[in-house]
Amino acid sequence: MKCDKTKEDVFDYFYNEISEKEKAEFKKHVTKCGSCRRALKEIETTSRVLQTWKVPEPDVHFVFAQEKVTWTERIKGLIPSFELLRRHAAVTFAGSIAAVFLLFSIANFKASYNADTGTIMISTSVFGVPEDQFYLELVDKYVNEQMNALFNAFEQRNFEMMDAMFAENENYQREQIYDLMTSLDRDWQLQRQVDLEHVGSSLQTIYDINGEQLDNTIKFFADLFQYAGIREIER
Amino acid sequence: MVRDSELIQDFLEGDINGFNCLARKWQVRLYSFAYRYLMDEEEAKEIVQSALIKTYKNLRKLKNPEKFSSWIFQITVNLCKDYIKNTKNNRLTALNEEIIQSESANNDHMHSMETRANPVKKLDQQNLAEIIKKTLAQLPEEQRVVIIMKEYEGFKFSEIAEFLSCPVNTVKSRMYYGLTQMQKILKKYNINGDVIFNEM
Repeated sequence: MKCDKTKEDVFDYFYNEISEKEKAEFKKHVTKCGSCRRALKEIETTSRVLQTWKVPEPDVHFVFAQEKVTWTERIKGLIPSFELLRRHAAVTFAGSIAAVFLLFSIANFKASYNADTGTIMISTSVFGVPEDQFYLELVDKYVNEQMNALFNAFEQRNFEMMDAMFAENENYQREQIYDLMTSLDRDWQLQRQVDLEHVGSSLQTIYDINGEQLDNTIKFFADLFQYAGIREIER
Repeated sequence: MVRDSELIQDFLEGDINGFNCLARKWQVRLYSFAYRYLMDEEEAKEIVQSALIKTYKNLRKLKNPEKFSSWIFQITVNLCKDYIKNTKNNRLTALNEEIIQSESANNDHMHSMETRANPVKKLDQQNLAEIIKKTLAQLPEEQRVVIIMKEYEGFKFSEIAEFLSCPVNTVKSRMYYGLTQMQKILKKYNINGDVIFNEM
């Protein structure tokens, strides 16, 4: 019987790249076809031999990224259509010109209402700032400077006052603690003296009592010896 | 395990650790591929380093993060190919010398093997790896790369065809000729798959 399977089919079966149905069919075919069986066996053997070769892990670690991502890169990452914008440079250029024009117009937008005639005037100017606005800006700038200077001076004075207050408070607390410590020390000294006096009088009492008892004992022994001596003499 | 696409997203949002995790995750796999392909430790390290740098520079241009694994592999394969192309003459002479040396050594080895009762049992893991390495080194480069990608990296034939930009059937026939050649060489060493399988 001539086999119609190719080496590709054997590979597909061995490396599991066919459907379950085709796999079952091939399995059935292999039981009958000797050449396919041999081919499969050979692939299996070589594959097994190959699998025994293990590569040890590299003994160094590779240098990874450490630098910070620049903000331009980040913006590029955030705008998905950045590439698109770059490709259509002409459109981008025209768009940006239009945007700048619009921005100028909005910045110099002027609207006024005349109550006598009941007319509303709206105008936009592309270039140039009105003269009165220029002086207003100057005055604003001057006022701002003055306010800042005043505020800074106030802040400085406030800071000094706080500093003085803290220093005073600290001194006061230090004095209080000193007073407390000295009074405590005095109390302790006094207490110690009283304690010592107590101990002294107790010792005196013990000494007195013991002395009396010792005298009694000595007297007793003296009597005993005297009595014994008399007995000795009598014998 | 964090998915590659999540790490890429982190990196695109400015978190450098996203890239570092990605690199740490892939370095061993890329290294073992490059090592098997080029058969040289230092060269493989160089290739992996260059591949990671290239990845870092071009990751923003990757349109579909789901395809990251084939993308990074494609970079590594191209670098390896370029490397081989640039150092072809030197490499060929070096490889030939190695093969000549190894063949004379093999003859000794085989003689000593024949005198023993069960030669395969004497083969330890290290020797076997050396033999496989030498056997693969003797194959043409185009067959070798297909075998490595299929056997060790587990890519589908269609994926390999994409990496090497050639038809699927070409990949399969390269695999076929490569394996047949390998079987011949391995038979010279008296290596039998069943014995190895039972041993392990």
